[in-house]
Amino acid sequence: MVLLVGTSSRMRARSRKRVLPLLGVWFFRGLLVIPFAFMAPEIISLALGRPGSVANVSASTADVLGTSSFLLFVMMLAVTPVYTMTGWRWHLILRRDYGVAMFFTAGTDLTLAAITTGATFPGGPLGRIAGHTFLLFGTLSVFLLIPLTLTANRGAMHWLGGRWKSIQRLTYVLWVTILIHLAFLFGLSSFFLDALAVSAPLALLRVPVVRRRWRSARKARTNRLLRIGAALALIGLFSIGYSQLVHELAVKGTAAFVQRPPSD
Amino acid sequence: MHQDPAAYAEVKRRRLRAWRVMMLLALVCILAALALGAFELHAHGLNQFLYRAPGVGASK
Repeated sequence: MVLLVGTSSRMRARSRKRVLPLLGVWFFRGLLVIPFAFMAPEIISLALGRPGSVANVSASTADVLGTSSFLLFVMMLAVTPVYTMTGWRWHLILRRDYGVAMFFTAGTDLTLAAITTGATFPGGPLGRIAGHTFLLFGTLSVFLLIPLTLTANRGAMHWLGGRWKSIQRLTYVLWVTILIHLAFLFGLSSFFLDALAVSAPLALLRVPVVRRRWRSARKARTNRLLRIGAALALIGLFSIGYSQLVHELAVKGTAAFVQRPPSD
Repeated sequence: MHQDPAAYAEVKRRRLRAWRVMMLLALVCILAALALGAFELHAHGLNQFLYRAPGVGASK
């Protein structure tokens, strides 16, 4: 009897161990629909040809889908540092999910910009996606997502073997082009500084020596205070930038959802 | 357990070819974006390419 009770409680604990990560993964996957949910009313209005819909989409697309794309990129980049700091593995699958979702969000942003921003940018669809320095770097970033997304699956990993990683390192080129895009767009203020604030901890935890030492200290359970202090500082800096970006998305996304976007 | 050297070499060759295809695609993507920018720069001039009025491109 005791043996049976012990076995069933172990089984319950094991199934809880399997269920919680699964719930976590699906929670974070659920967040991926938010940008499209915010934009859906305006896009449907655009498809139905309602008056004012072009201007609404033109005003919202960069604010909602552009901000979302960057947030998805940041979430994707955060997966490896979270693994380094905690040793968790349940969330690793989200790296691919967030990368692919970023491609679709940024691609939709680019497409809607090419279609609807004629009143803001002269020169036809090409001028609307490459007619300014900041537009060019935004378009370059979306184009760079093509090889990254095409190789974000098991088939491509098998096809490329050990060379798969070198293709995925284009993510770092993408990181730079996105920051240049934001620098041209906002200068050394607001959104660009937020982007730097979220980027700095993610970049630091990717430095091989930092990553290696953190991982070995975690495994050996040493330097606990130092690790907690560093984690608090890095998470704090990340949160400062991240909360601003989420606030921006919440405000602009809600305005887009009720089809009352701020005018440019 | 050991793979046939000829088969191993074939796999290596196939993976190198795959890598070249993907790097070529990445290069084409980069060049396509730069070509669009160069075309717009040529068509509308440097001033318009560099100058951005406040609020244009994002509402902030």
